[in-house]
Amino acid sequence: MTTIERNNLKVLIADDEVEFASTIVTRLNLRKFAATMANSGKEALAAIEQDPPDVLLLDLKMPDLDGLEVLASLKENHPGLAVIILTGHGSFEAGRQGMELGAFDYIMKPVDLNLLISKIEDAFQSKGKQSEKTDGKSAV
Amino acid sequence: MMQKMMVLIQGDFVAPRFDLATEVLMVQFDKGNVIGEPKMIIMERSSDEALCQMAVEENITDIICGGIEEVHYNFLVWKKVAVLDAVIGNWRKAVEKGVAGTLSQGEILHSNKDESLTL
Repeated sequence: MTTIERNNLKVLIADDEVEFASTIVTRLNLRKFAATMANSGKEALAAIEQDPPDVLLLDLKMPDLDGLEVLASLKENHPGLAVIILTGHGSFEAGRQGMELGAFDYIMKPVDLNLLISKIEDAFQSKGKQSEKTDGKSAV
Repeated sequence: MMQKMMVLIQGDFVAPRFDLATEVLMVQFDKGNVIGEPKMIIMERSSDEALCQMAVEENITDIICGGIEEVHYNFLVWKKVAVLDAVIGNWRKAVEKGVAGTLSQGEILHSNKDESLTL
């Protein structure tokens, strides 16, 4: 994916670790993404209602609504949203659960920025393919 | 011999404190030339212990950082890591000089105004 194609790619980071989330936002914005953050599950859902992102990076451990609860809610209201789970060291199982609930992929913290970017791009592209399929079905 | 450098950064600069750094840049180099793409790691929260562990796991040979506590400095040196402490300034310049082998402990790196964040 070229830098030009990235320009309008909206990424929302939902994580209660403010410093971590803001660092990711800064680094993604420098790479021509339009990244924003939400620091709780409820805040994330509100932000998605207001302006749905192309890709959501979702932390599993948050104080009000945890990542899996957010994911369950999204499954009902925004089933097409591409979600990448962010999990802490050693919480592989939680990442797997997230994927069972419809997340595109998961990534372990600490985050390798290049890996994160390639997963975001893959998630966005797979979302595009899915909506093409859906459009195709409705046209038939 | 191939070397692997770890630079603790904060925004545009070398992080002023080792224990508070959350952004880590890793660069592989050999005889003054960078090999491959630098890797940037973002940690969930700052932790000097986690940084030391990462340095060992990643087989780091050189570290560029700001203020590091003596206990961690001694640990890394014991692990045969060359630690360049108290480096102040733009991290790109620090990497450039570190790779060239011309960076020294406590060096203050002055940068041009037009050098802004790109990575």
